[in-house]
Amino acid sequence: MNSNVQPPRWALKFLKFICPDHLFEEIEGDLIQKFNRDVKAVGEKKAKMRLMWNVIRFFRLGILLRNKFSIELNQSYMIRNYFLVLIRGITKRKFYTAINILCLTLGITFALLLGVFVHQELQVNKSLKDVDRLFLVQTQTKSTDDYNFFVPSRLAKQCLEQYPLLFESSFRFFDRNVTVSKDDKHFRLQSMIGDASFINMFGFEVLTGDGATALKNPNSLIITKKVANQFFNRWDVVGETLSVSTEQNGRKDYTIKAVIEDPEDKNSITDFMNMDAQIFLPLENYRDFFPLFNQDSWNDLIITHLKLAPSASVMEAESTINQLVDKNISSKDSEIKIYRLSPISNYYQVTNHSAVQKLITSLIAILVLILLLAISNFINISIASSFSRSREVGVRKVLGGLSKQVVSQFIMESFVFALASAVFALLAYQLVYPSFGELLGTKMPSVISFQGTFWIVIIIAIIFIGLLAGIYPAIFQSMAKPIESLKGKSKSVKGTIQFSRTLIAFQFLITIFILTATIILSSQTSYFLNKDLGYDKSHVLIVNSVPRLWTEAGFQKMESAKKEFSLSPNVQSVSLSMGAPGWNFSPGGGTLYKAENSSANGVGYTVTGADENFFRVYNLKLTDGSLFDNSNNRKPNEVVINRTAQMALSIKVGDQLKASNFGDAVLTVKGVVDDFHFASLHEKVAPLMIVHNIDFEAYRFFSFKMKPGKMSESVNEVQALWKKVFPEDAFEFSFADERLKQLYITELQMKKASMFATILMLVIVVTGVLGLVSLSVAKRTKEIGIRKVLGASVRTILTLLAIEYILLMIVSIFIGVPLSYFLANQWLASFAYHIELNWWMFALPIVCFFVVIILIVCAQSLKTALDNPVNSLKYE
Amino acid sequence: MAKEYLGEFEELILTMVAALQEDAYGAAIAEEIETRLKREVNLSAVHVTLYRLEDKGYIKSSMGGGTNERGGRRKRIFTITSAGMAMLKAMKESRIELWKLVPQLKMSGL
Repeated sequence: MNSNVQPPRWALKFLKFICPDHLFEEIEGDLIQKFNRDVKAVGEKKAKMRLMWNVIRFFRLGILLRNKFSIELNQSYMIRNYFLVLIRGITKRKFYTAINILCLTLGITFALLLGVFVHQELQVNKSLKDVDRLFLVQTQTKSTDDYNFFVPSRLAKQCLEQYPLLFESSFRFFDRNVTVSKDDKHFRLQSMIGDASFINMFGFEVLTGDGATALKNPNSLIITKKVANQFFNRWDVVGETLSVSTEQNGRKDYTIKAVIEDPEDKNSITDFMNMDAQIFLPLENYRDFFPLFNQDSWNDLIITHLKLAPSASVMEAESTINQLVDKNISSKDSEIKIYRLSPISNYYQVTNHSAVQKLITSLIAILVLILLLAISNFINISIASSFSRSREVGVRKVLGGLSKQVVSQFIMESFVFALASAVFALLAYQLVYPSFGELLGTKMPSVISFQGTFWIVIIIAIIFIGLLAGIYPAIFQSMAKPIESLKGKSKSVKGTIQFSRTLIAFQFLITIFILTATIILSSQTSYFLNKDLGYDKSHVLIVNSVPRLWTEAGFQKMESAKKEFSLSPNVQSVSLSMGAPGWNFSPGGGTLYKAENSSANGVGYTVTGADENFFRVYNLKLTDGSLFDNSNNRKPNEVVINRTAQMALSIKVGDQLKASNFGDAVLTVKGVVDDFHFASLHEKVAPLMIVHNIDFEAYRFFSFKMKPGKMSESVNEVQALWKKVFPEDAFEFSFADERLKQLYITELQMKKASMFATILMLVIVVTGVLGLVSLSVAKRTKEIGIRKVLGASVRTILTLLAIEYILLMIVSIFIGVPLSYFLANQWLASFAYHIELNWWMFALPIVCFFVVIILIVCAQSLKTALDNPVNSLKYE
Repeated sequence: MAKEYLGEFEELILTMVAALQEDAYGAAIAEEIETRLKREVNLSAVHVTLYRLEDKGYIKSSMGGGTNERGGRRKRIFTITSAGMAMLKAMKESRIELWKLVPQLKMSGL
């Protein structure tokens, strides 16, 4: 016999796995016998094949079922027993059960809230049609790294005509804030004036009307359901007309051709730059707004979205666009700019210096940390209370229980806890989601509207949490030797205590980290809101629903309106301007250079328009020269610049300037003002030029400087005046200081979420320490009694009990402080203007936390320490 | 008893167990069927059928000795029980009863 040839081992292993134990030996024997005979008869290779095939054939019900039945019976009996013991344990140890469930519930609720929020933020734009192929065309200035989204109006058309294999469709638009009226209803709405491809390209749901052709003809209109309801209280309003305030032709009637479902919040098309557009006008009507615009030119600029063909590569499309631009635009411009395609799919997350992306990352980190805190509480309390259970485990083992069964018992228990907490957490979520959504300034979905995949994630998370929380106590319990655990002592205790100390240190570490982070975060946000911005934002009322008639007649009307308003006793001064704090301050920029030099020596700058009162309303400090003269004796093309611009180009008052977006006009510097922050403090102050409204040929805001005092009264008065002067325009206003918060919305969200997290975390950690201390005190009752009999004072006993926590605290401070210092520095460095880290930001939370923990430890142990030693020694 | 039936393969296996006596174990039965009847049988099918017959009480089993060829694994030797023997006999008799009813065969026998 050829004894060298062995049957493949894995096949027999597989057999062992599927086969009942009592049948395995003979089946294996039969198979080996057959195999050996086959080797002789047909050779080794074939014999092996046959063996494998035969083994696989044993994978059949007739064999498998013989397996399961016997074991399942046994198991279900044991599971009943485990449940019984679990329920008895819960009723016996109510306090610890409550702590366990409370901490896990808090952790899971918070994780759920943050998880849903993060999921929503990640889903933004995902409902747009073919979102993976949608791109916004942007230009990047090489020298300054500034992005701008105005590109030549001819570009999209040329792309589609010349490269149909790369580009599928395009949508170009302007945005305009307009007053829309029907009879005596007036609303200030954001509009988009764009191509007819609007519906087909983004796939917005059309409720009524023909969306595809709606914007093909002039004077037609698409509106959202919300607007339809505002004006008509119904949404099947195709054929009705609305009058729209246009900048060139005054009020003009447009016919509604289609009504669309309200677009998803925050999508980067209708909510581009947070504009929240509600009505859509055809680009054909551009003459109502921009008389000089040419929609087929390489010099006139417009915002453009492109949809690439399904197989096109982004790189190729980008280089094609750059080539087209090089060919068609004077070399000067294309030299300093690169054209980029920004994907719409993540535009919301990465826009504004990835603010949302950062928010999401930090929230996920907080979520994980809080969950870990709750889980480590669970582990700590199970370890501490395991001493009372070691006898049970010992008895189980003596009666023939296997380690495997002990592990499964303990893991099952933690699953039950995780599941119960998850159920409580879902209930808690349902209770708090509306207020949490309000807190973060978004709408949160109810539990009922969770999607199927979301439930799967929740179930996986519960399994994961149960496993993570249960695995260590389970293994540690199952490893103990029965004799030792029956005697009530365990050799493995030392290792476990180390582990549980590590967990507490880890909890302290996280706590210190989140506490300091919250303090630094709040300091930074309040710094944003309270920093001296270089202008006075108090008592300033901004009206953004100014009728835009950018013609000579329009300016005259505004002048007389200003006079009317300034008659009011509550109004100190009134200004008409292009920008206002918290609103888009400047519509754009370009390159500014001295008239005698070429643009190559210029600097990137922003430009805005304002009247002579602007400086008084916002109390801007003049450092050199003079401000605009009154409109009567005003000279055209006189400008005021800020200090940064003055420094950048070393300009003196009276110097002549030129700017890339002012053609050949020569501008004279009349005055210099100190730097002020109208934009957010994320960025440094840019060189700025203020042009008079009339030279700028545009305006958007009225700013009223009110006399201090009763603001609501003054607002009412201005509103009454407004109704008189502009009877056909809505009165929409905000206060400058309130409106500024818009700029820091993600930081404010982050601050609120982290405050919330801090409170939760403190609750979790404090209850966890509470449970642990009371367990360790209960275990050491006798020891304390003996110590007291031997003459120890209450103070020494308290120190004895607290010293462990103090040591752990010191360790976590040594790790936590440098870590949070490092991360805080990194975070702050991303802002152009930020606070300096101060020692109290670390000391304050540490001291507070320290005191709280010591108080808890003392309060818990004081009763035992004060107790008459006779009682504690009698114990048992 | 009258309600009990055996399938064709079950009957075959039961017969083999009765015939092979002390040598009736899975691999041997499969081999005998292959050599005598020139019929391909699968080892797992033989085993499953044996267990089923044992459940029904027609055969009983005990562990026998191992051989070198089996890698030292013991055999499970099956022996027919009296219930099994009675079942086999009843089946054989009912077959013969039916056999007699077949007319053509009677003629050719003459």
